[in-house]
Amino acid sequence: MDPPRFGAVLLDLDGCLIDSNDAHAQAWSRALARFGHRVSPERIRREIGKGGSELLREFVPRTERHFLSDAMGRVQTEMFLRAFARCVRAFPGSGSTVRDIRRARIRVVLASSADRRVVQRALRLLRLTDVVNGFTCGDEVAKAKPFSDVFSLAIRRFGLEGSRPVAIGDTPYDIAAAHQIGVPCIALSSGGFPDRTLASADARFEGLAQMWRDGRELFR
Amino acid sequence: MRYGEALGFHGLVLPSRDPEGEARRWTAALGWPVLRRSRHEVVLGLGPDLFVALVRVRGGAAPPPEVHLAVRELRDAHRRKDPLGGDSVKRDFGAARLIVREFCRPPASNWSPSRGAQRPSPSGRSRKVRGRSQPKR
Repeated sequence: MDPPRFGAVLLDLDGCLIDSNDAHAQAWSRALARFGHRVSPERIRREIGKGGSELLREFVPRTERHFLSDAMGRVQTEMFLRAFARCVRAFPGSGSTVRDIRRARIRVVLASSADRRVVQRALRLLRLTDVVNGFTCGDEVAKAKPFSDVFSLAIRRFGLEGSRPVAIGDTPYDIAAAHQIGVPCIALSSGGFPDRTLASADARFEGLAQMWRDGRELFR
Repeated sequence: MRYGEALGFHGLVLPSRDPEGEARRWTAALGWPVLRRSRHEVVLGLGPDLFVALVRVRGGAAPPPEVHLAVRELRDAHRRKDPLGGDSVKRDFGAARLIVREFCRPPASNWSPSRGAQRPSPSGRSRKVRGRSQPKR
């Protein structure tokens, strides 16, 4: 990566701030079962990080997806939110790291493919609602990750064009989405994706706290 | 009736004097499995997202055929939950009845597919379809 550095962060939520990828896979598996599809959470797990419509491409035929993907996504969100308190935890130090990043006058926008209610719930859990500069979510864009729409919207809405934004994510879909629009991407292993799937990232760290500790020089 | 976007027509309910015979012809033409069968009706298709229901008519006036349209964001004070997993509203136009539906939730169990029915999977392999049947009338 070239030197002096990033002035804004497009931060993914699941797998970066909260340990929730397994819970998302479980919720998708249960939601799909309600529509008659038996898909194990393990099979779904590697697709987590994509927006709902993109994820369903792997498991649901096209006609059914066309008519029912919204309903399936709605049911998944309900199931995920129901399990949230029991299954989702903040990664140690993730909330305080975001506060540190903000204190360094680096703008932080949450850019997630998740439903708005999930993003808001996570921000409350992390006590970051008033800390981040804002958020964009999957239901605001036509195509969620691995398409770049969520990141593009965040850059446009929060005027980050001149701030040298960097995306921080935990999945190959974050990397693909960022690179589509020429934004570098830092990958975190905390989401549980194998390192080889994150190989195209511009930098890699174990988690957000370690990134800020060991990669501070990457930022302004 | 207001809605955000029309996704497409996804179902027909047709009056028939010979639902079994017509069902065979529909199946021969389209290859769709039978989702549900009773003395009153035969429902063919892949699920609530794509079906044809043939409803037996005995003497007297036949009920109007139904056309089912799926939409996003159905905004109508009269929308009601239905067994296909949607909220829907009906409009009678004389020759036909229009059902406009926003799919919101899983279908009722009587829309679950019969075991062994097949529909193509995204990977091209066929697999068991959810056994599902027809609209409640």
